[in-house]
Amino acid sequence: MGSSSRYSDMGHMGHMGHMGHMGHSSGADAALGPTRRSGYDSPLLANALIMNRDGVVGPYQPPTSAPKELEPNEPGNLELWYPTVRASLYVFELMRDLGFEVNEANPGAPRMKLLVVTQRAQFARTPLVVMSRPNLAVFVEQLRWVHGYAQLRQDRTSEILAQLGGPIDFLAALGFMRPERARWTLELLSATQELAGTVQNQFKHVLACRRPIEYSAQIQPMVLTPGHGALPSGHATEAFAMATVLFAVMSAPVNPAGPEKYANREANRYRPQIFGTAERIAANRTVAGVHFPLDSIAGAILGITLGRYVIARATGGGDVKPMRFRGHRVSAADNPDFALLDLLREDLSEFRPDSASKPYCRSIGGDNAVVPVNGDAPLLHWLWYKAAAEWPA
Amino acid sequence: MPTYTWAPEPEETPGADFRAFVGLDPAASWFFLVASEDFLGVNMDGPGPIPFLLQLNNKQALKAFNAVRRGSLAVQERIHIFSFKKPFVAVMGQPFVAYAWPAFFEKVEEANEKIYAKFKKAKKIIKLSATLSRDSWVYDDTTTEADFPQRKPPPVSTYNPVGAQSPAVIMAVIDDGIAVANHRFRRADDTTRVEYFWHMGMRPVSNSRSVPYGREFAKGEIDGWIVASGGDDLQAHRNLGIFDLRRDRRDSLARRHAHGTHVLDLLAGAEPEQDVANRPIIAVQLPPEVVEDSSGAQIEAHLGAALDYIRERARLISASAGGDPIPVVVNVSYGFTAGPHDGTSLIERLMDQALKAGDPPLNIVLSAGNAHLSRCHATVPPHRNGEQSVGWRLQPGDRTQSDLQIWLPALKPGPDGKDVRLEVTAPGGAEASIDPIAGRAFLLQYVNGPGQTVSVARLSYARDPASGRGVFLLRTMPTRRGLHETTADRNGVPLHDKVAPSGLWTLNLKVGERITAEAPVQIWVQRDDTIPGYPEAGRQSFLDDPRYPLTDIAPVPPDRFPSDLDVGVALTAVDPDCPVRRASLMNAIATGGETIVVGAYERAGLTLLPFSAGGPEAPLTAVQRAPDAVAPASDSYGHFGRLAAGTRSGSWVAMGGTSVAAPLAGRRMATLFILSVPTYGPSIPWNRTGFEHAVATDEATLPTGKPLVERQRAFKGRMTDPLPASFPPGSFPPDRRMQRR
Repeated sequence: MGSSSRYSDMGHMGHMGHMGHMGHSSGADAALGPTRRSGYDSPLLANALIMNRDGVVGPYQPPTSAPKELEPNEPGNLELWYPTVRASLYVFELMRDLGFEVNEANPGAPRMKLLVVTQRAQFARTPLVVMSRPNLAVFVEQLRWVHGYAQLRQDRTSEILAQLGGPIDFLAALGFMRPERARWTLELLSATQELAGTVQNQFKHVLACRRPIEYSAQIQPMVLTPGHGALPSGHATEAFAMATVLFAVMSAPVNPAGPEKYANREANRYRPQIFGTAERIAANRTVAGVHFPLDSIAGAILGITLGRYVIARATGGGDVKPMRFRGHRVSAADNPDFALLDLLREDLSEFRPDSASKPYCRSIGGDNAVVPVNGDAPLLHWLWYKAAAEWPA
Repeated sequence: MPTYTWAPEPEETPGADFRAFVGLDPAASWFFLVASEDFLGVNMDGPGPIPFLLQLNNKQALKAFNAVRRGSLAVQERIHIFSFKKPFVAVMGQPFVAYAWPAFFEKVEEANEKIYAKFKKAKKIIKLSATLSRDSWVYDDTTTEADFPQRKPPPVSTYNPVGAQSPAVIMAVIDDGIAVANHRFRRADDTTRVEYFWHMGMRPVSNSRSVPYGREFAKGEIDGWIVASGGDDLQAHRNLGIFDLRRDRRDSLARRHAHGTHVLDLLAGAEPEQDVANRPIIAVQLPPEVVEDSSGAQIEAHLGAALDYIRERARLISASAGGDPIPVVVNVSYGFTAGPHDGTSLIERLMDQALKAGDPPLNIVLSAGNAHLSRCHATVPPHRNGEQSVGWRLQPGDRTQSDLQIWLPALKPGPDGKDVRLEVTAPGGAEASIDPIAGRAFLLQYVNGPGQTVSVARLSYARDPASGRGVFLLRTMPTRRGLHETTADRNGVPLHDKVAPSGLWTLNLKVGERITAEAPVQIWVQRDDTIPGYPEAGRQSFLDDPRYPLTDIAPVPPDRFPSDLDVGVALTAVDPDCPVRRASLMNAIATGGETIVVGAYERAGLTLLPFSAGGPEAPLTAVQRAPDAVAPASDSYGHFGRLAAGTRSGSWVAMGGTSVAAPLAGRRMATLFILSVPTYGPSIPWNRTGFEHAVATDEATLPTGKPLVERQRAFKGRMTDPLPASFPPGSFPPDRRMQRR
């Protein structure tokens, strides 16, 4: 016990195997005293608790009444559970209606569809996002961008390193998001990130796109190239999914009949900052040398659509515009850079109509096509309105 | 280390005997022979034409020039003029910009045909700049002058300042990294104040040939893209094509801080809501390869072309506004260290003539340079037995050429050989001895692995045609090359073998009796560093002498704490016996008679900044001048530099140096002109005299406790800060008409 507390904690965690709890101890458990926080189940504390009980308990006396039963299947009970338990409950609600299908857009151009169950009884499924892999020659041409963006490495070093863990600190700077002040918004964003992560990994695995470092010895990225496929970009998907959800929850009314929110009135100030931040986080990965601009384009399309999916699930259902990233239609001569205004309208509220957008970013079924998303997600619903209440009118 | 030896350059080498090619740049032999791969850009797509400055000194020269300009000659075997002022008329004694392919110079040198032989002998002066990159040159091998620029006349200006009685000044900048769509250069309605913008480094498009290389944009096109990009300057720059990370060279708008944007903001920037109508902007962006080469060896012809462009476009702006020609201030925050420093170079003559012509009324403001402590200058007066040794230390890892120049004073023609004899000892001990009479150049050589003889340095003597002064030129290859530089030269020697030895080179000079303390021999090392934001390139070589004081500790009087941190108050004086001096390091293109030259001082302490370069130690003469003034280029010891616009609208970056001082002076001059403040007299003549008068008045208003001690670096004194202390910087004072009650 004479060693520093840091090392003794690690040792105890190893004995007790409660690492999962430690990982999420920054939330509600922060209120616990030092002994409990640092060593939930330390022998010291357990022993002391045993001794204390022995000294205090006395003979057993059965209760003559009982506390009122908890409501079963009650969203409100979520507040009683661990954050990690809540997280797994949200994730299930988000994921239960999703599925995947793989085929080919062209011979040699693998394509993956993210499907949504729209009618649960018949298990009818509709594509929400479809993505096809660009041709190898396109990636080779895209290296020019990676090479050129490397000029910004010196400028962007602190951002790139701070964003290795994801976008949350940068999105949190766009509003008053201290952990205790915006805890539900942060949980909502965390659940969104979890969804994005799981979905993007499916696409990454199936499309199996190589990273810039694999094409050229001159890329020499400034951070370690991650161990999963390049397209779509995880940072882009997560950043845009979270940005979409964040803006919506900041500007949504507290309850369906509530007053208009400040962020909604100032939407044309908030949207550019939130989406501009997401865009920059995505672009920084190209600066770092670990992504192509196309990866960010695909990630933005996927991320925004997933963000809208979360919003629809959490607000009693809604229509989400299904989108395609047509990678197989990109030519080496196009060699597009990632610029948000290429994908979205000037006010950033919607994708550009098909007639005015790039060949690689299109709707599924026309500008007015929608996928009706089920709203039967009471836990997400509960979370949504708790989060919306954290934003001022 | 391989064994190096000096060998005389073979006499039969064509071009080795430059004296027969009258008036040719003494560096030409190096450019065309030893260093042709680097000069002609064999590693690029292939050489484009060579821009150069040309001055014709008599009627025969004019005739010979016209003969080699004829359209009947092959495109690559004649001189081309792409002048903005049509028709072009060459005037005797006035330098102008011309273009020719390497084959033309070969034809002249061979002199097998009469017109070329006549041109070779004609009394002229030529100063070369390195070839343009092929992809920025508008024309292919078959294009002629007649195609330029009538096929695409310049866009007519629509400039019309609100209220004709408000005097205007055209603010022009020649720089690198100019974010023309930045909001600091916009009016209240979000339209740009940039009337014309020439980007010299861009790939041209076929319908945009109003400039000989690169591309020109007029206000209308910039405005169009600002609107289409929803006001977003980054998107506008992308759409203009001036920000493009696909090009395999540094993009000067990529980073948060761009030199030209900062400079232009100091010169003419204002918040859009100030709606500045009377300071229209003309901007010229230098080609990146010119900027990257900090030796400035390539800048002179581009500077000449840029000035011609600015004058012509200024005329269009004035024509649109009606009334008197609007005065122009041109800021050039660029320079280098080596040259005769006597105002005779062609670019200096070109600038002086443009300034004297006053058409339009013009001021050119140059930065004095930051080389004061660079150890790049030595003076060699007679010393004891008439011998003096100076060390030149070449750095390892220097990826660009190095260039040392030893200038004799202006002497009447006489037995040159008696004036100076030079012995050069390269690292490793190889010694060469050269004097003006012998005439032949020497090459430093070694034998590489496969047995090839590789030349890595050249030592020569010439009479510089522009100044008439004798000059020894010692030019070396880089001391390091990349392993990927495997291209072979015409003799099959791979580029990566062409490296010179780093270390100490010793220069031993024996001077004759015509060299005196008043007329010494002067040595300059050319600037050679890596420009921030550009890939690793040069490392500055310097003159190494044990007597030079490396650290300067101003002695503090015992009754005073050094809490003022009076930096730059008293640099320890250089031992009079030490040849390496802190003098005459001001910008080598800034020694003309009419240009305004500005150094740097610190705003808080009113002290000269230690790096700000100056004129000679000896009394100033008409041809050996000092910077006119210093401007507040740095806020304080703890806050280096001045804050001004970063590349993106709304961002601020700090930058210091004399690059910052020059635009501050330009801003102040324009303000004083517009205000015509009564204390400065009824009006301020729009020239160097007027500026000096204004500065002297500013200096007189400073508190007496802070005297200016170094007139060699700030001849007329310290200029008042034109920017208010409040943030964001840069509000223009109200116009004169608003001040009249």
